[in-house]
Amino acid sequence: MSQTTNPNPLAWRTVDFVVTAILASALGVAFWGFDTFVYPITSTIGNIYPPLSELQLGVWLIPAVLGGVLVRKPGAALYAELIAASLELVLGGNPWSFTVLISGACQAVGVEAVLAMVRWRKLNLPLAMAGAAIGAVFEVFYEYYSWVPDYSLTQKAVYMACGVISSVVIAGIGGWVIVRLLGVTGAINAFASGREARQVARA
Amino acid sequence: MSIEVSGLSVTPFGEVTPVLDSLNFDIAAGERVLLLGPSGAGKSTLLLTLSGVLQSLESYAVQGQVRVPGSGLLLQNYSDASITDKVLRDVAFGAESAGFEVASVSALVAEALGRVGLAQLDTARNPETLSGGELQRMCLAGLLTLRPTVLLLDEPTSQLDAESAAAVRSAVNAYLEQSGATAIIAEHIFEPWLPLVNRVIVIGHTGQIEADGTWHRVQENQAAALEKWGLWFGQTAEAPKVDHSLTALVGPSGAGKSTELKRQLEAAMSQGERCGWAPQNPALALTGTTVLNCLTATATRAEAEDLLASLGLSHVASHNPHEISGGEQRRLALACAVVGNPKKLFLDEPTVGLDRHSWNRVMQLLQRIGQTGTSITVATHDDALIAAAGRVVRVEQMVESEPKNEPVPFTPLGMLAASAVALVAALSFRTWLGATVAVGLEAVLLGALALRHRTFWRPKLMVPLLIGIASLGFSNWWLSDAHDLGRGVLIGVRTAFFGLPGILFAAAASPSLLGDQLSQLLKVPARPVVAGMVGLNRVQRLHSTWQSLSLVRQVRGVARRGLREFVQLIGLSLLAATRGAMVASIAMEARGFSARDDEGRRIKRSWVVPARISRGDAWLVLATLVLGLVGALWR
Repeated sequence: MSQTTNPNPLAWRTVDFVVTAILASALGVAFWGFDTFVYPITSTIGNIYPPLSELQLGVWLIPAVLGGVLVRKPGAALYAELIAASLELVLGGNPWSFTVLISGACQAVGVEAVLAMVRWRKLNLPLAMAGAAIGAVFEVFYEYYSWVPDYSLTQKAVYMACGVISSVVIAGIGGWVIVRLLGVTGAINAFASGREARQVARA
Repeated sequence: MSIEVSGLSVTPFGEVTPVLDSLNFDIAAGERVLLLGPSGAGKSTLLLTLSGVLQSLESYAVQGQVRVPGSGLLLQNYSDASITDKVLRDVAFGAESAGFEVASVSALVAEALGRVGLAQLDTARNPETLSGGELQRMCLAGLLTLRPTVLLLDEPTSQLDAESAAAVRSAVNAYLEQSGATAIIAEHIFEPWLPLVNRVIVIGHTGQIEADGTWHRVQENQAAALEKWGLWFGQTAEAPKVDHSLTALVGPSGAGKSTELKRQLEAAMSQGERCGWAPQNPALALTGTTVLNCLTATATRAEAEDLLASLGLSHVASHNPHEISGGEQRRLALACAVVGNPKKLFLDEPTVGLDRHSWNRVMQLLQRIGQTGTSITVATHDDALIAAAGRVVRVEQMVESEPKNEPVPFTPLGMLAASAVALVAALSFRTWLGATVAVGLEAVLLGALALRHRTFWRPKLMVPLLIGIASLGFSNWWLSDAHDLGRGVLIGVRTAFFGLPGILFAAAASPSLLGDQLSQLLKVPARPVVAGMVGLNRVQRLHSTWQSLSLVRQVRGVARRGLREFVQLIGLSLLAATRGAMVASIAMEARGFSARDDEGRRIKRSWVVPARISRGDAWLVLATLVLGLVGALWR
């Protein structure tokens, strides 16, 4: 067995795949809980003015931001989001079925686009928030077509604003904070993001 | 091919003092070495470094030279080290990673299981249903498929009962005899291993080699030192008695001792008794950010410091509780259980992985607590602890019945394809009547399927779907021009059309089968797919982790109420999942998951379970297509 060395800092290691996959699966379970117990209630209340229900969007972008911020390698946001969406599909209990994979891809590609601009090197809070915002824009455009084709222009604008705000706050800040908190415990010292969080905590 | 180590120092990220300090040693091919050292001396770190896995983690500064020919590593924590949902897949994992041909992989798996005495084991079983002894031997079999020239064993028997431990030892011995491989074995209860080894290396508290030679010579020249580190007391050891206050639950590994202990704990809790609990996995009990504040959450600083001193943990008081050694964590979990003077103590394997000094400290503490009238129940396989108990209760082997999955006529990829077809068709539905007819026919079809295969009958999955449909229909009706009812029905019903096949998938899809299909049939790269399967398969484990964490917090009396507790538990579960993921990752890396060939190219993985699609898949996709066309063409 040859020893693993990592000459290319953007190449994926075993630990990158496994920790991302397991964390994303755990978030997929959280999705299921949200889809089953929270969403039916909130979306019913949201019917007062339907575009407002997009304020929940950010919940689903957490894995993408978390994966990207944690691993800092091409495809990490997409990988985490697709694993979490797959689990949502496997567990069922939501009205979206197969489309969770399409939504997941739209959201994650938006996040990836922002991370690609800094070549996955350095990821700080503003970048995480920007990634979450662009991910939400991609997702909302997809939803215009697939879920809310009959909204008026004003309604679509409100829908977009709600989605972006939600994503920036819940996924952008939330995803970044989760990585920081995990990092402080030392559990993700195998990742540059974890080591940085640890250093900040000790200083 | 020998092992050569020169000037090896290993320092964890952010630390100044190295765990291993300037080690120099050579081990000739075929030598069998026992690695001794007090709890926390860096034995696990050395084995990880020799296997090459530690270097890939980037969280340690590694200096010096290490040369080890093809090694196989067996981990202390076998429950996190088993990574798939079938014995066959787990044992074959290394051979698959090495890209061996499928036919030879199957033969290697059968041969390796035979070598470890598990020839009769049903390879379709889920590793989680195996006893501890079977599980550890299964992991060993996984190493043997690669015919390693060096075996690295990290406390291979510390969590096993005497009989299971003997089975593991004889399997190791048989392989070494037959292959002439080199072995390095770390273990605290090491006497049973002495006949197998011909050399002993002792690492001291400071991570340096303190003694090296045959057991006979080490014992002769270093007797005082061995006693000082609590490694060996000759024949003079005398165990403290605890007697009538101590009850021992005994039985073979995997017999259900932990379950019984937890049942008794919950019964005592429901009667309002003040209880203490140390779970089998000590890490779950460690709720603080430092060793000290794990205790001060429910005790004064002075009490906490006293307790740490009595267990020999004062020197790590300010450390992160998750970065101390396994034996230290075990003692800290015990301290967390006894703090606050509970009336009933429930301790799950409180003496695993301890050197003799630590063991004595634990026993003295139990003796003292017993004298205050607290009743202590331990689940254990430690003979010396059992001997100290006033009452011994045998827990008989439970036959774990695995829920049999009824075979269904569809594969995951087929159900996914049907969902995709349904989605494309549904988006082209134009009239509410056409959509309703299509969905009606679909419901009849799926209803018939559910009558034939109970697996597909999942009313609980229907509820959120129906609410979603109603909500979507309502909002599109409400917002459409002139409140067009037909528009609302169309949008709602077309969601139902592609949502219903999703229920088939959720009811019957196995992540492992999907992974096989994605990589073999659709040629998706192997590593993300395999890691994804590992993640998806671990979801069950997350549930039991959640329950244990929740119970720990209730027993300690630190649980909050409602939403705040919920959020806390989400955070702690994520953290526990991450730590488990690190172990799984190490186990996979050690089995060559990311290995490259001599030219530096990634080795192409082979697959022991061939992927297939079924005739049922074709019918399902065709039926969905026909129904979709009915809906789409209706004008």
